[in-house]
Amino acid sequence: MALADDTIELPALRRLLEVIGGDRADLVELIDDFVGGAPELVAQMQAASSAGDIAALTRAAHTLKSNARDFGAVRLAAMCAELERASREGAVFDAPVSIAAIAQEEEKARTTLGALNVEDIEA
Amino acid sequence: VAYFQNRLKQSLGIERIAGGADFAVCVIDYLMPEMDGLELARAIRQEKGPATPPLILFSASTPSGADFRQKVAGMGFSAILTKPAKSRHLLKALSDAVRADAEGKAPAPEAKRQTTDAACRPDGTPLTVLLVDDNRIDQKVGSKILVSLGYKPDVVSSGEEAARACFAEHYDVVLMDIEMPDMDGIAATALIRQKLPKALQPYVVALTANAMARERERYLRSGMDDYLSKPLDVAALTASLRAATEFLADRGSGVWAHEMGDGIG
Repeated sequence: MALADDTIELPALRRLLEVIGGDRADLVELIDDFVGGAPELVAQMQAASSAGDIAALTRAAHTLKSNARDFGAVRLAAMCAELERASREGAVFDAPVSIAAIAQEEEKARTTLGALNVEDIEA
Repeated sequence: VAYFQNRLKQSLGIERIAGGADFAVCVIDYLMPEMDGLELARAIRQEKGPATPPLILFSASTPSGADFRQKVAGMGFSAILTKPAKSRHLLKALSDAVRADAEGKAPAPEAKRQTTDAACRPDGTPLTVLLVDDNRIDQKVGSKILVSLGYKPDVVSSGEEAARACFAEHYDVVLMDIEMPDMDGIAATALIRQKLPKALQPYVVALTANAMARERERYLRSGMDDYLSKPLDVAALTASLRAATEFLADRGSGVWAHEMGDGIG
């Protein structure tokens, strides 16, 4: 199958399906977890940024990066990785701007994943 | 009980078995010169056909390859015993084999149970694994991978919980995420290294989504035994767990040594 755009890279989902043992119900469960949990991580970034809590910002960016990678949301993962790196090095100058861009990409990834038919993913 | 130690005697053994000597059970060493345990089993089966007594494979090395175990199960062995065998394990294998034979079925309970890819302890059970990760999705992914490989992982969400779990219970392997709030993987490992006696130390594998070579050195220096990057690669994880088995066996894991204490091999 083809996705409307390149927000989600299917090979990553194929790989995920394979490593967890090939059960599509498990993959659906994981996608649901990501779709359900990603907005909360973005909200944590926003709150951490407003509060000037660099450690919390680094952590939320790190977690969303890791999860985005698992599900093939490569652009989202790259944006989070960049924010995590900058935050870790204490070099975040435009956190609200970065986070707004991440929020947009996160919504796209979530929508794409939510609309995905896992039956179409080849094992 | 009759003992046959080499090929000549094995041939005699086959002749004795073929000639009508009825053994209730044959315990066969795996690694023997000239004719190994599997060949001997095949020869006995050829001679005796349906009258073949229950066969138990006795092996010094824990059979690890899935195809090896399938082969063993396929040859109708009732059980695989690892040397040195605890007397009660041998007794159980013997009584299970005889009982199954008497009931007219030829199940291979031990051999079948082991048809997974899991790296095993000397008693044939999978390594005990603790997975430590604060990321819920990574917890789930990691634990599904481990379950699909035949392990029964325990899962905790923080460095403190990891240390507490290791003090309460023995784990052969701890898969330890590095980046966790409060007590991170490095601090948790340091605490475990500091508090537990050497013989009870788990094999600790660092997990991280920040894969950089210089970081790897730091993990190894801080007491971790191996390093895997996330997303987890099944082949790399499998290799690391195999390495853990060898490491623990070489060191003589305290827990394993205790289990092998009343061995007869």
